[in-house]
Amino acid sequence: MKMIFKLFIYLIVFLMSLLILAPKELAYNFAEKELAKKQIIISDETRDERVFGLDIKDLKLYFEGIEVANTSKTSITTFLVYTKLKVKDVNLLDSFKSMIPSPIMDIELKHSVLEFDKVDIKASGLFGKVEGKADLLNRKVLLELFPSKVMKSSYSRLLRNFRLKDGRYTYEYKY
Amino acid sequence: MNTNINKLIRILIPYTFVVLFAYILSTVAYVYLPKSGVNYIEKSSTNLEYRQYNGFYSQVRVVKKEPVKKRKKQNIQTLSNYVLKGIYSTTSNGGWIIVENKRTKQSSFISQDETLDGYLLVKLYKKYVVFEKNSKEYKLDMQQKNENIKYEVTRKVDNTNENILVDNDTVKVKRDYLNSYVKDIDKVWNNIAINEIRQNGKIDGFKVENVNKNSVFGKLGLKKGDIIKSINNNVLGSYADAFKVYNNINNTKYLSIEILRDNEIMELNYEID
Repeated sequence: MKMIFKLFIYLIVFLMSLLILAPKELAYNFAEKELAKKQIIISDETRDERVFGLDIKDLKLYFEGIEVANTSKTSITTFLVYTKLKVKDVNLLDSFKSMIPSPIMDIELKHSVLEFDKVDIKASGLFGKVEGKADLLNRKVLLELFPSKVMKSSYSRLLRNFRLKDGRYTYEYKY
Repeated sequence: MNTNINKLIRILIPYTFVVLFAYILSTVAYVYLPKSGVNYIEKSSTNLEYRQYNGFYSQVRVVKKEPVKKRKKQNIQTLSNYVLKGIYSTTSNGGWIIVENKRTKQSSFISQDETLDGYLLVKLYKKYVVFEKNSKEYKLDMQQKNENIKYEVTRKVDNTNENILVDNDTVKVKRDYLNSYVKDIDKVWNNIAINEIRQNGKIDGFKVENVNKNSVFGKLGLKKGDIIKSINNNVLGSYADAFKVYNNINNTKYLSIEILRDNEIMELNYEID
């Protein structure tokens, strides 16, 4: 029992050391290059490496050569067993504003080993609130929208993409 | 005291090795991971370019310039025995024409690089074609109709002056009218339904599934079944290409929409006033 406890402590020390010493900015470079292959480019950002994560400020997001959105701050925090991605102030391109209410104040994605096959999704903004989960095994995203008054009155077309049942707006996407 | 230090060292040594192992792994990762990220570089070619403005329903695409052949050219003459009734093009940049013999009143189809009484059809333009015979070029103009089409559609809807001026080959659209659609995406989708057309997995234009005849799209000549291939010489090979046009519409003075209708390539040309 003492041996198992010792091994567990070694493992914790190893993971913590690995997280602290890992070149997080270079790992982010790698992620950027992988996204670029799918025509998603994150540009003009400033990076700030933390002990257990990375802050990315003032990024511009391009998709297929079009600037889609910019954000004031994105932070990635990971303890390997628990990872959180938080995006603040997402401003969409003017042309998209007529389709989706902008700005989106917060987007939060969380992953924990306790529920290793799911990613928690939360977002809030002018559109209201969205909560849901991404099912990594079944490759499915389930979202529930709590629409704001603006969303209900001015973005009815977007709202029609959600399924309304018992007063709840849900959206399912398979990828 | 010494015993205590030795004990502490004995405890710490395994942890030192664990940390060292983590450090080695991080160093290996450092060596292999990319040292720089990706930055967006704007390509100058993404800007809308305007090719030319040659009237409303141009019935043929501009044929690509052929390499100049070394030959002695003489002045272009007119084929007086024939009347050019129509010019058609195909997606593969080829084309054919309909000509009518003035005396026999017999019409014939002539494809590019085919001959008509020894005249070789070499070039197809929007309003005329060029034949070649004995190193001489002969120009044949499109038969002109004696119709003078000129009308103006004006309607005031929700403080927007819906104005389209058609003057023979020229169609002028008021920018305010166009902007009323650009600013209100719902208005766009309420009046036109478009679906992507894919070939070998790649987008090869956008098909007009439905169009409201009273909307700007209907008035500008778009019809159900049209496949929009390019706008202002920018091939629509992705949603991003279509979006670039949408984003740049305020800086565009002319619109040239290339569509495929009934297997014919047509150009709809507009002037934004």
